[in-house]
Amino acid sequence: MELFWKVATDLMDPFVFLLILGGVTAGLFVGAMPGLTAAMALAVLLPFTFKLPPLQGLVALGAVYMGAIYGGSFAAILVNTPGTPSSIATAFEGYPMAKDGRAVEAISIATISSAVGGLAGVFFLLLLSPPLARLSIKFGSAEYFWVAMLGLTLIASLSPGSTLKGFLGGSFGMMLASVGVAPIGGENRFTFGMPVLQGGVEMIVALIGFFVIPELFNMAAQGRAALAEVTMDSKERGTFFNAVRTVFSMPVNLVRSCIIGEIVAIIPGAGGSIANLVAYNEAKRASKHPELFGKGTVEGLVASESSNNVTVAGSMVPLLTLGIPGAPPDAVILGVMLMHGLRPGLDLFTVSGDLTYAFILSMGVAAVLMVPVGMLGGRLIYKVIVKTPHYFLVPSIALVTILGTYALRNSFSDVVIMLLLGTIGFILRELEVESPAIVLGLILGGIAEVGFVQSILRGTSLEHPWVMLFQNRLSQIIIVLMVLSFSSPYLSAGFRKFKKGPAELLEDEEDVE
Amino acid sequence: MTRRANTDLFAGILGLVMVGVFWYGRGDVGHLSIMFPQAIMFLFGAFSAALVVKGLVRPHRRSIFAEGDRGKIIGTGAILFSWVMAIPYGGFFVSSVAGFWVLTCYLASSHRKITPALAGKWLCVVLVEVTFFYLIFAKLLYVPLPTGVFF
Repeated sequence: MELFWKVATDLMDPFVFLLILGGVTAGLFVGAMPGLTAAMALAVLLPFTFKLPPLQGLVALGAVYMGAIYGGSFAAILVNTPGTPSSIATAFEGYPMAKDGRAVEAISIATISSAVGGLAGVFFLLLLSPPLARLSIKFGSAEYFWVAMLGLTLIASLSPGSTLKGFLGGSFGMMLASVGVAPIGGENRFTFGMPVLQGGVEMIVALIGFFVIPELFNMAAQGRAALAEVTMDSKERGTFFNAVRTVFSMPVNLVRSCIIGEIVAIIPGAGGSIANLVAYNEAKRASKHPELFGKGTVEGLVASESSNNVTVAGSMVPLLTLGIPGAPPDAVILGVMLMHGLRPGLDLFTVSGDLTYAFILSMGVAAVLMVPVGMLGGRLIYKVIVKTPHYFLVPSIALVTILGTYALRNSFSDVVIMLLLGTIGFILRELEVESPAIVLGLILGGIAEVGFVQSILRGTSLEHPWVMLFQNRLSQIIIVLMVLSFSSPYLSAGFRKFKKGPAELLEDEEDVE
Repeated sequence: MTRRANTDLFAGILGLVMVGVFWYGRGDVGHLSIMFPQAIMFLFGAFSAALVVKGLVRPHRRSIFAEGDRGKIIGTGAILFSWVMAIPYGGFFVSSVAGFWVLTCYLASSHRKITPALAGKWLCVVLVEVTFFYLIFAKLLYVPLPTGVFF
């Protein structure tokens, strides 16, 4: 009860409320810009939270995350270009609705669905995190090593295009994580005689580089002239209550999409970009009129927008309990938590319980605030975005990126490293080695190394010390899951081969290695 | 003209080059400090080699750097690097005003004619924006931003 009152008092602080409001608005602003992802929104806005106390900083970033995922729907509906990858399926239905003169209706439905999804994510986080955190104390060094490897295998398996390239990206990230002083041996590795590298590659510096710089290059190359916007009728009224009625008139679709969103969110590296497509596909399969999908169907829009916002809080289940980010934006949140000395695990729910629960509930408040911000300010924000020329947008983002990277450790070297990693990330992305795999490798590298070396040290009395990695039952379960996730692309390809004829197989051959 | 590149082969070769760089930079360190990176380096090399083999046997081809103007990517990269490298000499404020303004004019040049009057107007906008962020970071967040020849 004491904890409840403490959390409630923290959340009722007017400054915290203003931070949530500002965070949702800023997130909506960045998320609505085509091509700019939620991870980028968090990375760009991160430096503004440096001087804030832990709770206020986390609350602001949680609200930015929630707003950015929702903001992606604006561009998807009005420009047919998903603002973030989490809104791909939103464009399938939202844009045809907008072309049909139903833009405001589509945005209203997306708003209500996003708010419901956001609240469902908070509910799942509150429900699943404490038991998983209690389980996490049973994790020893070997289990942490295998969990890190499982995360890497999952993201490689889920990488678009090629699993092998996913693994390449993940192992590159792990190599980057090993630059600097060894966590157990204490010696310098991979510093190339440069003292600045002794501290290693700062996670947030790498995140900013990998997520922001490639987008800047893309925006510079493409310009914004190609965007064909749909006009919104500013006099359209009465859509809000209709939208509420419409969304809640399909409870099965809504609940199914939220559950799909949560399941996908828990898988490290998956996130909203996969959840919205899976939920959309399931909504189509379950619909009585699947032939209408792609022509402006509300069911598809509700499925996409509710599932992607579930992943915001939902993907924090593995983050808060095991320290493994469920989605790339969670990596930024993890960075901020570590910066404030907060370590994921059971302590987060006991010792720092007031802060953790206030942070979780603040995301619920952010989900609710998306409704007024989206309905009242959304049109204005969108107008600003469409009217801002790319030749001001690109340098503006570059300026904030440089400032933010420098402000992390007041280090000029970090800015150079960020720019170099961003350029490498851009080249690798063109070669289909995606940034999320590299970033997850970078985060998991440290966890995996400590787990690996500690296990080997514990096994020095044995003839084969590496046996320690396989002895525990929990480790064995994680290894089985890892093998399953590793082999899933190959198993599904084999299954497709079994089901399809040779002619159809020729078309699919390139997808599978 | 857009050429379709063998991305498997290129990614694999790039991976092998990076493995070479890490191998060269591993340093003279004890077993405890190097055993994990060595294992990962081995895996990294194996994945890269597998991609090279795949690229030779059954390549996956796609157009790279095909979306938009490739020249703009190189130009933007060059301006960004020059902007950052000028910071220790010109200081954050002066370098950023110059970098921002040059990048704006460069990116806008393919869409509209840049007259001296327009460039001057944009310089004022850039000055206002950089000053705004400079004041937030330097005066509000107390970040000691790099100073240079001027301030």
